Amino acid sequence: MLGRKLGYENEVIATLPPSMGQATWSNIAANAVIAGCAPSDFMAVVAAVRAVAQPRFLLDQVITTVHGLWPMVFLSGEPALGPDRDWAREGDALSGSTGSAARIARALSLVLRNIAGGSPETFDASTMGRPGKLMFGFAENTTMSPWEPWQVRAGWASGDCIAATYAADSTLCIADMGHDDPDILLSTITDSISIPGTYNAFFRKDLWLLMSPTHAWIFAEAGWSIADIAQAISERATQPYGRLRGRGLFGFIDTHQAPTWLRPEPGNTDLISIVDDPRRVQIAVVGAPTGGYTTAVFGSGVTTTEKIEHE
Amino acid sequence: MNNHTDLISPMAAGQSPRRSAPHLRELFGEIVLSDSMLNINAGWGALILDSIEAAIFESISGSTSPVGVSITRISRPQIGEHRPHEWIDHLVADNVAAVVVTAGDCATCTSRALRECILAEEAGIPATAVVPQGLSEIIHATLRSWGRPDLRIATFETPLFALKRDDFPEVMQSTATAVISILTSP
Repeated sequence: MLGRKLGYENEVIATLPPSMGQATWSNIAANAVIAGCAPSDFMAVVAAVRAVAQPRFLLDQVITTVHGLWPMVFLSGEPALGPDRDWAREGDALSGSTGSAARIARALSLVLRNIAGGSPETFDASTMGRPGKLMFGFAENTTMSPWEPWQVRAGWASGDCIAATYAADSTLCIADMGHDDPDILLSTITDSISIPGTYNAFFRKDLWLLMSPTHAWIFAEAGWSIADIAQAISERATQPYGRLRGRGLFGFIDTHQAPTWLRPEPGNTDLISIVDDPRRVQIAVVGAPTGGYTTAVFGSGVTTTEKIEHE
Repeated sequence: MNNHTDLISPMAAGQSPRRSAPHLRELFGEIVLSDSMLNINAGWGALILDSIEAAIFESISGSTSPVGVSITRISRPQIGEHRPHEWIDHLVADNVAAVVVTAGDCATCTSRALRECILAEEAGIPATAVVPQGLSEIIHATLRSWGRPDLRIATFETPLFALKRDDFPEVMQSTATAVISILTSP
């Protein structure tokens, strides 16, 4: 697993809160082996570790919270193809049943459990957890996407492969079929995600929408860009403050604790968007061409990325 | 040579102990009470601090100390970026005598409150946290990982969501008494 890193195995890659455990080439590799990774997966695991270690990811908060947040791993780019480099881009992509994306995500979960203290016996105080916490990793279907690859939109070079991480909550599968009208599709998505009990409703940070190729092409063939969709989501996935007041995380608000963007007066009729900026909407094409689905990945915080280096 | 446990989980190696602050011989000077929780119900953190503040003033009611005690109460939600060193530096610069940090049913707040107390103690400021007993795993993990398994803390048994406003003075009485004892006894 260590390959050319033999001899450097004790070099510290990242110090991981909340336990402040030191992730080294060696102990990352050990956890990758337990996860069933192939050697060709290893640098993606390391990239994912580096991504969650970025301070803006707030790893200590993600691990310690009573909520079920846990890092999602998203792979974007074109690795050298081969039997060991199959990221499972098409059917059943989110399930982890095939390909290496799930192994990579599983390895990251083990690193967080064993090195960062993310187990229920120590720092993980999650009340209920959530399905997908053991592993939630997938890759973009760049072949079927009508748009630029996600990593290019995120500012990386077209030849780069990246691991993106996001503090994910549960997912919601949104089915919408039998038409090719982008406005109807958008309304189905925005009505489905505009609910009071998500962390997104309160924190309004990143929101991931994973579109099947069918949904992506309905938008693309009508001339919608990614920016157009994100803008429309931002404008239409809203709830009036009167519906949110005192519910979900808005119940926390008192005279001392209110977000700076909110006027917590009872008579406030503002429409509260699910994101505080259209650029918070992260859209990727995932899965097989048959079937009209968009999966919303709720969560908290921002998406962090790291390039997957060559060995 | 690492054994297999250390290879997979370096936490098994343990952490270096950190310094503790000397206890106060008596309550004096500026005592900072920080409500640093996301409350399960709005205002619950303030109710905990009400009990502690009342216990402090009750304990000094017969004091003849010329220095006196002042209470500074602050509210700091523990969600988002955590910069405990900056806060501790601020407390040191203000020559704060002691600090008490509360956390409610929020585990992130609990872990962060404990880390702040450990860093405050290392900076020479007597500190304790008021945290829920129901989060004992994360409490012990934080104290152990941050090198202060011996840090004395005050806990409350009942999850806050189960309390009504009128319940607080009675439920928090023993907790508040424990805070005073922790700050003033060796």
